[in-house]
Amino acid sequence: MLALGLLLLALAAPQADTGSIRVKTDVAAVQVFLDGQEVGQTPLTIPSVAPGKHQLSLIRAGYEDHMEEISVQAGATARVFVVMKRSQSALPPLPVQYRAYHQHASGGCRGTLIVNAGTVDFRSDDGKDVFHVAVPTIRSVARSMGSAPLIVGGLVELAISAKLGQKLLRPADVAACRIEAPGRGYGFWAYEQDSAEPAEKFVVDAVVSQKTKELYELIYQLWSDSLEKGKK
Amino acid sequence: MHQASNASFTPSHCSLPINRALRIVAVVIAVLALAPALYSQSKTIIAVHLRTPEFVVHDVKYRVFFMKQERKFIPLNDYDFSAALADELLTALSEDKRVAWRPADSKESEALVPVFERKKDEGALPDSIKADHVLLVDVFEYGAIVSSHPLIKDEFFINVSLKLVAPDTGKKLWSKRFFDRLKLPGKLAELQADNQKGLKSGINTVLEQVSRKVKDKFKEAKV
Repeated sequence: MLALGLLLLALAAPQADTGSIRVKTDVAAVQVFLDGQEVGQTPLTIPSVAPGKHQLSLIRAGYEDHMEEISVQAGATARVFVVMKRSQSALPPLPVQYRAYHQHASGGCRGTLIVNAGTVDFRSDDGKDVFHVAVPTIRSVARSMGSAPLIVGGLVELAISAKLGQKLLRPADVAACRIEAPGRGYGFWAYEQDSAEPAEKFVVDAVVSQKTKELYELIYQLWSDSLEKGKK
Repeated sequence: MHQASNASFTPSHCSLPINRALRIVAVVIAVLALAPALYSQSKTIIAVHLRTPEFVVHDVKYRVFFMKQERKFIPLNDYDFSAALADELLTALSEDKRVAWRPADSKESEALVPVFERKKDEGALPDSIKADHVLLVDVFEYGAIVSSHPLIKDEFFINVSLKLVAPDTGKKLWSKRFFDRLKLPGKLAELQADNQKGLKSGINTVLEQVSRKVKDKFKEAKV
């Protein structure tokens, strides 16, 4: 009893400072990201979560991404149950044009991305960044999992974040589409003209996530088809 | 060695805050003291058996002189109810530190099917079951009751029986039956929209509700 009392005494203070999140989905084994960090697969309980608002992202191939802001209170368990939606597999008529945010090592640029049957073309709004990728030359098409380097604001934001003691990595990259071509890799977020364009900062929200997933699935399908043709 | 004995250890020389150091010492002492008790936790398997795998709808049709009941089945796409219930029970019951819980693996579940289906509560469990105890979770039905009768509420429900048994003898150590319900938040047809979102969310809430009750009842049990 004495030992138990000591244990409770010792553990009481730290435990009261945090809460937890219980995440469940109808489909099993959905990848769960909390504030951009992968924390496991559903069903799961995420312990020791700081109180406040957090960004929860659920991702599984063949289903639409689910992004949700969740509020955690100290000493309590927030519960989330998500019914995942199956994504539409039919390809849209080509060419397809997207508004896209192209990641650079630091920051990025906005522009127009056009996907054709055999090519992916990007042109930034200021015309400084232009590239053309032939689909059969692509080495891999992937979705970025995990945090990305700073995407907006560059060094100024880095300095501010460091001063405020915040995470230096922005928890926003779970939805990015990445293409590896010979000699260069490209990262994109696709977004809708009206929803994200006017924002001063580029915000990865549910719409951006969904549009990016569409972009990824389109390019992946075209690439996969080209690989099949190459075999024949 | 001499240097260590000469060093004066006062709070001002301590690199850790005093209360933190005390807390660490307390944890160490407590863990050492509790270790034998933790080690002696009984290893218990949770095995879930569904008598009806699909979501069952009892449609009670009101007639002036009689009630007619129709039983329908709705398969829930992508939703493994059995796994969801096992996981929820595991999470809820894990708070009870008297027992170390784990879900039955596929071989154990398969071996336990005849146990669930036998009519008498007798006999040892199959030899392949390696545990101190087994919690047999027998789900008779889960689903919804809907009716055109004004006095019958539309509800989700789960009808489940739980039994803790000793594998070597099959002796029943604890048992409880639950019939848990939750008000249907809309029409059954509407709840099936959007990949059956309403049905799945509703039955998940019932499942959490019943798991909490199981936890509370089991906590009270002198097992």
